[in-house]
Amino acid sequence: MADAKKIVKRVIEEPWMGNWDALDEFVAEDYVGYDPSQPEPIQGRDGIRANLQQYLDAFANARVTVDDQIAEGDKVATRWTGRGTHTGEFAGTSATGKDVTVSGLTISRLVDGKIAEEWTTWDTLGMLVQVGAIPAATTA
Amino acid sequence: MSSFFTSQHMPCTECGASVRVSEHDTHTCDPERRLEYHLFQLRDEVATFDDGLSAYLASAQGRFAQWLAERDRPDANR
Repeated sequence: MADAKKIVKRVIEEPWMGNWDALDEFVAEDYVGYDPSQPEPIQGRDGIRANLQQYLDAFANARVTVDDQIAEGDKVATRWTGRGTHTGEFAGTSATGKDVTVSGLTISRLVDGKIAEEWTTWDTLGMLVQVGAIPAATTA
Repeated sequence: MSSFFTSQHMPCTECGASVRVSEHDTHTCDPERRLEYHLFQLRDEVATFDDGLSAYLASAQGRFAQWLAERDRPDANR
């Protein structure tokens, strides 16, 4: 499963560095992604591009790095960390110049060496708190 | 609004760097990052500074200030 891990790692990390070719190479045309932060499932490579672009527009130097991976059968589980600087409007919040760090988990299902389906959960609430869209708790 | 949640990472209020909450007490700001962060907060003022200055200099008050500055300028040949 080493190749499957590498494929998923490339698809998760490389688009953030401007290499969209990884999507064409390793994502199935009929890809479907499930992310609780999105109202509808992400459909196809264009759906992934559109989803990532909203973050790339709002966060300068946005990067996602893979921290750990576990593979079993046709699935790969990936723990990742996203970082960026809030330089554009996001979730109704004007740019703050603040750096943000969020973590997430993605389970990818591969068919014939391409990612066909993914389930992602990530720290959306933490992101909103860090950019100030939601007030952080104050300690007494 | 109520506050009910603290993220594992929070931006430093001085420099905007993302810092683990458990490390906030020991965090030291990078001076370059701090300057960058403060300039970012002032970006609207910086962006409109030239236009604001031009408008001021074109106003009656601005023209008078220029005349006064010119009058009071030490004579370079003196």
